[in-house]
Amino acid sequence: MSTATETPGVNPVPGMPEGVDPAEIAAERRYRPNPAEVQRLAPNRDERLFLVLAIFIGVISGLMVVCFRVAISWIQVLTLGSSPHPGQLRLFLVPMGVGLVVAALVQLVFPGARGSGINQTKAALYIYNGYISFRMVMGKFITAGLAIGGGFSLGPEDPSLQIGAGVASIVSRRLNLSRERLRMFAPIGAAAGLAAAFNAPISAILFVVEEVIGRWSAAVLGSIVLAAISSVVVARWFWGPEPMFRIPVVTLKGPQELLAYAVLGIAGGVASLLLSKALGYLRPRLRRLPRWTFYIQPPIAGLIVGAIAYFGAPQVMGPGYNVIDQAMHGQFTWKFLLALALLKIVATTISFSSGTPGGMFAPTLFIGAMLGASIGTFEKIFFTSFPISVGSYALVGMGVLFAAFLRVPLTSVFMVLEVSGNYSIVLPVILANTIAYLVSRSLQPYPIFETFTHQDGLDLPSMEEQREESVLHLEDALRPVTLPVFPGTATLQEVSAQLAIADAPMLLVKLRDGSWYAMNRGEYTSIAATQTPDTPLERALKPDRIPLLFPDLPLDSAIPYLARWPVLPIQNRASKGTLEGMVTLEDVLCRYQQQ
Amino acid sequence: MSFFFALKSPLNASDRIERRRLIFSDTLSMVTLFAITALLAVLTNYLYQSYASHQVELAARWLQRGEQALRDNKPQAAIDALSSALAFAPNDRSTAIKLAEALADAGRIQEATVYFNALLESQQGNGLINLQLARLAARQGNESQAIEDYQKAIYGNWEGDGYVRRREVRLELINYLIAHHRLNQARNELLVASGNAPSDDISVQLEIARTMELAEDPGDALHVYKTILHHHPSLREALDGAGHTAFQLGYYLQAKHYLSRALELPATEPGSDQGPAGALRQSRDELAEASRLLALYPSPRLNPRERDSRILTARKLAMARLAQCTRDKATTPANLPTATSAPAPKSSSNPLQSLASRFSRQPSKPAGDQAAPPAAVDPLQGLLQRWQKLPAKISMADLEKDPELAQTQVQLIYDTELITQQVCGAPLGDDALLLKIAQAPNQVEEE
Repeated sequence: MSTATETPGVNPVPGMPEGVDPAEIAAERRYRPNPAEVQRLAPNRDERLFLVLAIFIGVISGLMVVCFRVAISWIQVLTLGSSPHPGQLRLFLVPMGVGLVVAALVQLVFPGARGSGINQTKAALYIYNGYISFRMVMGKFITAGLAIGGGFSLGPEDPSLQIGAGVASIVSRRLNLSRERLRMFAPIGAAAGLAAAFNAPISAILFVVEEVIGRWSAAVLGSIVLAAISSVVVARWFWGPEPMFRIPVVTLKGPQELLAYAVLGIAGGVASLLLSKALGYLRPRLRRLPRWTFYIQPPIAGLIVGAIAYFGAPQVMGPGYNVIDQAMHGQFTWKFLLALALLKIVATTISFSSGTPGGMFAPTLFIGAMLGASIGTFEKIFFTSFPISVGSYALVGMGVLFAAFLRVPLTSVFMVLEVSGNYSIVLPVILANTIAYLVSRSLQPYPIFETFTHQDGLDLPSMEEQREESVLHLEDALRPVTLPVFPGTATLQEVSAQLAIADAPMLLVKLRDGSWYAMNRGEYTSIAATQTPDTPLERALKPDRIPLLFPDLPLDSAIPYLARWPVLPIQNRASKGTLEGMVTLEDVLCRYQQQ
Repeated sequence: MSFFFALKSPLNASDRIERRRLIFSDTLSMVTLFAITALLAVLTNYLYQSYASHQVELAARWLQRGEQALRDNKPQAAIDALSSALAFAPNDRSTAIKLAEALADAGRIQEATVYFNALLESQQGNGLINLQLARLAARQGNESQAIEDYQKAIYGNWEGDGYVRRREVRLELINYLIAHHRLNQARNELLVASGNAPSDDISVQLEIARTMELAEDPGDALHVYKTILHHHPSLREALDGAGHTAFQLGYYLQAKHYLSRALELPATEPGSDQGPAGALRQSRDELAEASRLLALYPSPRLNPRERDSRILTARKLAMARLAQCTRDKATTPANLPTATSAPAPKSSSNPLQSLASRFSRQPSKPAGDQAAPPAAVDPLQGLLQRWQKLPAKISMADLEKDPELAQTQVQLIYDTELITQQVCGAPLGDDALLLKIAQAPNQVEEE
């Protein structure tokens, strides 16, 4: 993605993603008709292509993600060996060597490949009209694959999301769709990429809605669902339908067990704070170092991760899904699990802050699983009255950290359910995730991706704020009807007589068909001057009518009509023609200013 | 591609040409997209298949190493290797089971249990997994869980020869029950095992019979041994077993019969492996004991003279035993005041008289105690009184003349042995044999 996303101020072409030649875009458009012209020739073309392309994007993203995961596994086996154990010298050396290669690639060939991919995708959506270059996609694929396979404590999900978004961008550009459509393809591809990486379509859709788009949009939701499901179908064709983790059956033995899960929620909130603070502290400091250090930061990070692995904890290397599985099956002591959680925080902070491409999802799940399993094992040993299943604690721990660190509470619940295929645990998950989310929010005002955005000098919309933004409705600006109201059958003479008494600046007219008309004194005066006094009011009015507006409609829905009408009557939905109140432009503006 | 366009539209000629170009362009784009997708699918499939085959190879390699480590009794190395194998073949149940076994071997019982439970989730009712869980529960000392898991294993699903595996598991359960002194449950299971065992499988029948002996069920064991002997009359193990169990049950005639046949078998007789020296010695001892016991036994089948002779022999033994027991009792700390105040006289030629004289010198007891029946107060005193009611000297002629006297004498001999055993402990020598006869006199010669 752009340098603006990762290193502000060095982008050669403002507003253009780094690594993209403007001529490349021009060449793409050279032999293609103008989108406006296309729209004129075939008005429904974009809409129909949109759905078909969503399926293609899903399939291609799914295939790309499968390739990506296989490549990571290949690299892992080739570099770290098929059975990494402490004391193997290669664990010490390989991450450093891989770090050197990745640093060179990122600095010299794929400058947009740094980072996780989430913010880059958001930047593509909000800044670059959904544009993600082919080079960036390949760069992310190669560098993130090398880094994760080479042992860096990073995950493949966020890069998969960006690869999916990149695929969507490349495909949609070839079909010369409108700018608005092009922009919407990025989240579609993102959902497809993430769904294939997680083997969890619902979570992917929710994540994209929660973290990338920010709000539910019916226009794009259908395509997101299509793309996500297509990609998951492809991924399952290769990986099979089994969930990512084998979870023992979880049965809640009693309400006292919820107390134990609540403790886990609090611990998860604190752990996420620790990770956020560590990243928030180290990342900007490393980025402020001279540019030549960007070549040595990943190798040094690799050296530290390798040292952790060499001296006893190779589990922290890579995404660590198999370790999560082992933890769920109670294969570690609670002390070792806690140590793994802490070491993973260290390894992930260093790996990510060094600018090595790779995602945060898998490390987050890892830390959460280790923390949950540690607490579960501890409680099992020291509180024997609790009928504890360590696997369920690890599972809930994953969700807890996901909710607290990434600040996506809804996604975190569904993610746990989907990756485990176990719906019996929903109540503890909801409880623990909510607590962790609240703890995290109270201790850390900004979500981690927003922190990264600020560090990068960008101002992307905060999805958390958007989610929680209260939408104003017409009822919030409503005021009682104080203007004179006349039936349409009233003559101008009658109206003039009453207006003389009322001295109102405007008046409302209720017509026989239940519709309304509003006018100010000036309009009435000009009507009265051109018509005879016995003319019914409805005959003298202009043909247009005030649209139907109801109190529950968004406040901004009134704004377009206030240019034409001086006042808008707000009607009751149950009783046509009955007024609930009225709003003027001044009322609307005052209400917005009060917010 | 006409699907994407309205069929009729108010376009002029040049627009229509443009629209056709657009249709062609879109068609070409979609075909290209489809071709790229297909090509990517082929490439992905190739990459995936090559990786998958490599995974299979790695899984097999690590599995082999893990199995070797298990055979070499290196559980930690086995765990490492099998974990690696499982990482490459996560759905391989047999590897997972082996890993869980390695964990159990390494003493990581809890992890192994969790592993097996996870496996059981996907294979509910799997006999092997339930058996492993039963063994782990047994190792953890969780008896009820172990028994429950054993039962699940018995009634679970088994691959291949399930019938044999179920029987083996049931026998394992029975041994577990015996080891934990749940003998009633063990006997019940043994009856089921015996009923299900094939009659032509001698080794199984023998194992069941031996296990019945361990479960303190010699009656059923003897029955099984006899069934075996019905088909294989010269099978040494069955003869030995039948002899031992008959001996335990008090069927001394049968015991002698079986044991003598077993010991008479030549060493080369099929199934006549002489076995450990201890077992052989036990057989010989039991045979000798049974023979001696039968020689002492005043059997109703004997001619009167021989029988009366044995009664008189037994009488002497019983009187001596009673006298000894009375002396022992008098010198125990509980009776010390009596013993010190009136030391026992030196044994006279008639032990019964000396006994009577000693008891007569005992201090008088309170009225309350005197009201109680003598036997209830001191079983030896009641016994002594019964002896005193009999003539001091009995000859063979007396017994021959008075069969009722003979019967009373025999009963008193048996009661003496039984009561003195209760008061003074187990006797030795012929007294011990008389006691055995007294415990079930009617079984001695049962056939």
